[in-house]
Amino acid sequence: VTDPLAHVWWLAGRSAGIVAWLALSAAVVLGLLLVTGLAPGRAREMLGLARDRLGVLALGLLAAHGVLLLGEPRVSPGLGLVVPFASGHDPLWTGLGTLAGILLAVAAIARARQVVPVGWLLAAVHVIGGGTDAGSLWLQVPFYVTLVYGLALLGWWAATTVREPPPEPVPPEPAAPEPALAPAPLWLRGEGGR
Amino acid sequence: MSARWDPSWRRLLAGTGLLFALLVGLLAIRVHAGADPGLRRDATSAPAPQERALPQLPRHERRRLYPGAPAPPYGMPGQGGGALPPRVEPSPRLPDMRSS
Repeated sequence: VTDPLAHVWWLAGRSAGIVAWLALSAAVVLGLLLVTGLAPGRAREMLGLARDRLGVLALGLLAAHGVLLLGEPRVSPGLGLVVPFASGHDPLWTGLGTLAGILLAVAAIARARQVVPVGWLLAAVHVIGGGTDAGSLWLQVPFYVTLVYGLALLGWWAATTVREPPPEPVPPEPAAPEPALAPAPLWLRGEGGR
Repeated sequence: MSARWDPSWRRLLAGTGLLFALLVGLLAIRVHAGADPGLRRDATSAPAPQERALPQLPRHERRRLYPGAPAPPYGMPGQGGGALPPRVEPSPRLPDMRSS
């Protein structure tokens, strides 16, 4: 029987990674619902607030995921925690995860929301390729449900954005002609006006 | 929208903490039961990969598959004969730890 306490950092790191994925996916889905206009109007403000807070939460959990794994020497990313593909353990999949984390952090700092789906997709590849539990049904169900839903919204957003070209600049209208003078009132026209 | 759905920090942190604790518990139970995919039950009892006897393979295959292994003695099948160590099948349940 293996003592779970001997691997507590590893278990905590894996759990943080799973919760980070869920929070990030929720933030991405909410963002796509808002940007596609599918979110109901009266809920937009609340959904925007939830998206922002879930995004911050996901970033914290991503950092915790990497830092906690440093405690397990056999899977520790080491320098790969901050430098993509520099990990001594599973450099490709770990590197993709590091790259996703860096992209998402930069997107948050620069307020570049368009980059977030790219980081989210990199994180998905990291989970599929490097996730210990990627083959377990209990993780596959929520993972693929969020992935497919997010991809569908991303496809919807891309399709509607491509279909609607940006409005062309409207040329300046020629100056409107001077309005015709109103006919003089009768009392100014004189007697001959009749 | 009603305040029931208000995404306050308190609610988000509480939900996250609860989910995190549940997952740690689930993974700990799986590890304890030996059902964790990343940490097999016999990981500690399995011999280290370097200590395992290598399966009988042609010399170039052994070099390709086990680059760090010592060079096999001459006399592999088809190369002139010689006493060979008994073939030991590698354990199918090797430790398989992944980072996430």
